[in-house]
Amino acid sequence: MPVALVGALMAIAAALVVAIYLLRRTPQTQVVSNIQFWLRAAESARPKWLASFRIPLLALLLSLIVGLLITALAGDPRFGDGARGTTIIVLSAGRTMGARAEGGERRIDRAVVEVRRWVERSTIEGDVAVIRAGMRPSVLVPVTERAGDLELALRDLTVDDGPADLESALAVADELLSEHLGAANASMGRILLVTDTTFEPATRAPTVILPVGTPIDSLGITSFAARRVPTAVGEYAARIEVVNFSSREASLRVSVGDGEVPILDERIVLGPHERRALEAGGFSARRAELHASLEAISIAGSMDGLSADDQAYAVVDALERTRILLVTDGDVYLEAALSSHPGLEVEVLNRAGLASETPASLAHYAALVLDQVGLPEGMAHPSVLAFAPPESADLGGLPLRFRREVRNPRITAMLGSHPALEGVRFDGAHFTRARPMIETPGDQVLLRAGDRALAIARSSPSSRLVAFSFDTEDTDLVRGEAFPLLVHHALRWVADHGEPTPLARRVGSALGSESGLTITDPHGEIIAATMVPTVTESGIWDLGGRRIAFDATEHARALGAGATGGTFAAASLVPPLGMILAALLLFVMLFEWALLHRGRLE
Amino acid sequence: MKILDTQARRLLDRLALMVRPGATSTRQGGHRSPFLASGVEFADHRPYVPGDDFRRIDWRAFAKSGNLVMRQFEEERDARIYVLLDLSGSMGRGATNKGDPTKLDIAKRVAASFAYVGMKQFDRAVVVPFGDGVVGDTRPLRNSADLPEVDRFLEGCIAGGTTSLPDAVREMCGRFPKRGLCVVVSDLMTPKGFPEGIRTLGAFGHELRVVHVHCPEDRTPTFEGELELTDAETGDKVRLRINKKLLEAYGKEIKKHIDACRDATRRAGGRFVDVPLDLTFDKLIRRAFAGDEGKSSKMAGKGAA
Repeated sequence: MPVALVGALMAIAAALVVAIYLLRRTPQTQVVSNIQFWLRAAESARPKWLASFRIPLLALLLSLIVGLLITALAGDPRFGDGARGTTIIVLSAGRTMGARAEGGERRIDRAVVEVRRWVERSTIEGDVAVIRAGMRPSVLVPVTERAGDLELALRDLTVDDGPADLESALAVADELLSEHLGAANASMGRILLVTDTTFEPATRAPTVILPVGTPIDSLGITSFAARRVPTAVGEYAARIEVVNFSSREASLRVSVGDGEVPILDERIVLGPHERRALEAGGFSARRAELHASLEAISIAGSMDGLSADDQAYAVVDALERTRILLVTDGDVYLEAALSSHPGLEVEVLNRAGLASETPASLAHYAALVLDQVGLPEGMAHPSVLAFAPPESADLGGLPLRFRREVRNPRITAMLGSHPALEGVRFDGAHFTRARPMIETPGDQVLLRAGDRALAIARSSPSSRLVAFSFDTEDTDLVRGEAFPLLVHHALRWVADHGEPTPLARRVGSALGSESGLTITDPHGEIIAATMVPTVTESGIWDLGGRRIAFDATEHARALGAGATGGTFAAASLVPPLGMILAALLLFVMLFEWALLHRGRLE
Repeated sequence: MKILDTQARRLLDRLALMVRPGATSTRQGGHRSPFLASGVEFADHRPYVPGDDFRRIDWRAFAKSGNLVMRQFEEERDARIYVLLDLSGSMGRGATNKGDPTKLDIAKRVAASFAYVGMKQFDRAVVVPFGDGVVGDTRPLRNSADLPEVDRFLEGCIAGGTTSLPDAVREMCGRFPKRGLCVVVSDLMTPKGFPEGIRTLGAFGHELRVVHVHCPEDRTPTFEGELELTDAETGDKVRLRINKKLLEAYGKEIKKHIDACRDATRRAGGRFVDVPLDLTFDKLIRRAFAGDEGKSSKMAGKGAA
C-alpha cells in the first residue's frame, strides 16, 4: 500500500472525526428558566474525588504523551527520510577507487561520504551492513542499527592494488540478506553498490548502483618483468611497458632501480593512447629487487589521476649454480636449453658412460636429465628429468610403463598450475610421435592427448620425477623460446624437494607455505598468519627469506566512470513506522478532543 | 380579554382576605386592628381619667358600682394589599403548546384575584410588578370598580429581564411604607435573593404570602441528551449533556431552593403556596387564598381564607 494512499486514508479519518465533532458542536437549543440551577446540578452531579480526577487526569496525561511523542517524532530531523528494512552497502575498494579527481578527492573518499549518508538514512528505521569489495570481499560492518558502528571501520579504509571482486561481494551481500531476513524474505532487503565501474548485478535482492568518480586521465605501467641474461653470467634484463591512457600528450620520467642503484632513468613523451616499452639491464649475482616508477608526469591540461599504477616491482633471483648431469648421445636441444641458464653447471655424459657411474658419484648432481635412457639397475637418484625414457626404464625406483606408440598426438590438456609448466604454453606445439605413459595413482599428468598421458610428474617423499614421453627430435617444441623455460622449471621442481616459490606473482593470488614460513609484507611488517589467501598490495613480499614480487601492472587501464543502475523495489507494503505512529497519535488526539468536547470526558 | 372573567369574579366574590391586626392600616375598614377606640365591637372597661369623652362612660356600670369606668371598643381598620408580581424572563415560560398559559398568565390571574378581593372589601390594593427593581405600580385601588384598571395594567406587563427580590422589596418599601398584606407571585427561579427578600418583607411587618407559580419544566424537566441550555432571563448559554443523573441533581437543587424560600416565608410568619400551572382556576384560587396545600383542602369548602 503506497504511503500516499495511507496518508489519504488518514486524512479522511481525521476529516471524519472533525465532521463528527462539528456535528456535535450544534446541539439542540433548550430554553430554561435559569441555567444557574443547571450549573449547580452539573457541579453536584460531577463524579466524586477519584472519578472526577481520574478521567480528566488520564485525558491530560494522554494528551501530554501524545504531544510528546508527536514532538519527538517531528523533532527528529531524519523523520520520514529513512530507508526501511535491511540495506547492504557494498563499497568498492579496487585500485581505481584510489584515483583522484581534479580537486584532489579520491573516489574512495567520495564513496565513503556516500556510504556514511546511506548508513545514516538506513539506520533510521532499519538496519545496515557494509561490505568492502576489494580483491577479496570482507564485511566491514555486520548488520547493525547503529550508525556509529561504521566510523571505526571506515577510519583506515584503504584500496587494494587489484580490481574489486564485485561479483563475489554481491554474492556475500545476497547471502547476508538471506541469513538476516531468511531465504524467503531476502528480496525484502536491498543492496547498494557504490563503485566506479560499470557492472551488471545479478542478485536476488534489488540492487542499485551508486556511481562515483568521473573519467580521469592516467598513465600507468602495464608490464614490468626482469630475468637473468642467459648469455652473461650475473647480468639481468628488465622490460617496462608504459601506456598513456589519456587523449592528450604526456611527458614523464621512467625510473627503474635495483635498490639504490638506478638502472634506468629516462624522460619520455607519450602521445595520446601511446604505449611504449623500455628495456634496461643490470648486473648482480645476488638477488635483485627492482622497483619501477613513473615520475614527473605531466599531461597537457590535466593530471595523472591514479598513482597506484605508477609503481611496479620485480625480483631477479640470486645466481646459484646447480650441478646437472645430462645423459645423452648428443641432443643439441637439451644441451642448448641447459646451457642457456646461467645458474646451471651442466656435465654431459653419454648413455654408455652411465653404467660406470656409482650411486655416490650421481649424488654429487642436483638432478639428472636422461635422454632416452634409464638408470642402471641398482642405481637411483631423487631428482630425475627424463625425455622419451625406454620401456620399463627404472628411474631410480620409479618404474614407468608405456602404452603403444601414437602418431601425431595433439595436446588436449595441460596441468598449467604445476610449477614445472609455469609460464609455458603448448598451443602451437606439434608432435610427430610419442609413447604415452600409463599413469599410476599419485601421478600428475602434465600433458594429455585425449586419454593418453604425454608427460607426468611423480613425487614421493624422497624423490621427484618429470617424464616426457616424446623425444626432442619428435617435436617442434624444442625450437621455441619456451623450451629452455620448460626444462628450467622442470629441473627446478625435481631438484627442489621443498615447495617451489615463484619470483613474481599477480596481486590477488595467495602467499604462504605448508611449512609455515614467516611472511613479511612490503612495509616490513610480519604477518601473523602463515597464509595470506589474497595478496592485495603490490610490492616485494618476503616468504621465509625468499623475496617475491607481487605485480598489479596487468590491471592498469583507463579510468572511466561508474554508471547508475538498478532500482530499489518497495521493501515493504507498510508505510514507515514513524508515519503510522504519527498518524495514529494524531488520530487519538483528535478523537480525544472530540470526546472531550462532546462531554464524554468532562 | 379580561384577566378575571365573570365566572372568576363570581368565585372570588365568595372569598375574603383576612389580615392579621398588626398589618392593618390607619383608615377605618373591615379588619380588626390592635387599637381600642371607637368601634362597634366591645372590648373592655377602664377607669375614667379626666379628659375622657363623657359619651363613653358606662353609666350602667357606674349605677352598679359607683365608679366611673369607660367602655372600650376594638377599632376596625382597612388593610393595604401589595401584590408583587414577578416579571422576570422566566415567567414567560411554561407553555407547552402555543396558546397554553405561561407562568406569567397564571401569575397575572393570581395577582388580579388578590387585588380584586382586596378592593371588594375596600382595602387598598396595589399591584407592584418587579424585576431587578420595581417596574411600576398601580395607584392604591379601593373599589371593585377599579378592576378594569387592574386588567389594563396587568395586560401591559411583559416578562423579561432578571429578578432581584431584595432590591424590589427595598424600593417598594420606600415607595409604600405602610404595612399590609404582601403577596409575592413568582416562580422563584433565581437561586439567590428570594429568601433574603422574603425575610426583608417580614422584617418590615408585612403579612406575607408567597405564591409559587411553577411549571413542570421547572420542577421535573424531561429533556435529555446534549443540549445547549439558554437562560430565559439573561440569554446565557451553556452546553450540557443532560442525563438521568443530572436531572436528579437538578431536581434536588430546585427542591433545596424552594424549601429555602418556604422556610424563609414561614419564619417571616407568612404562608407559602405552591401553584402548579396545570391547576384549574378554581383550585388555583382556593389554594392561593387558603395558604399551603394542606390548609387549602380544608378551607376550600368554607370558601374563605
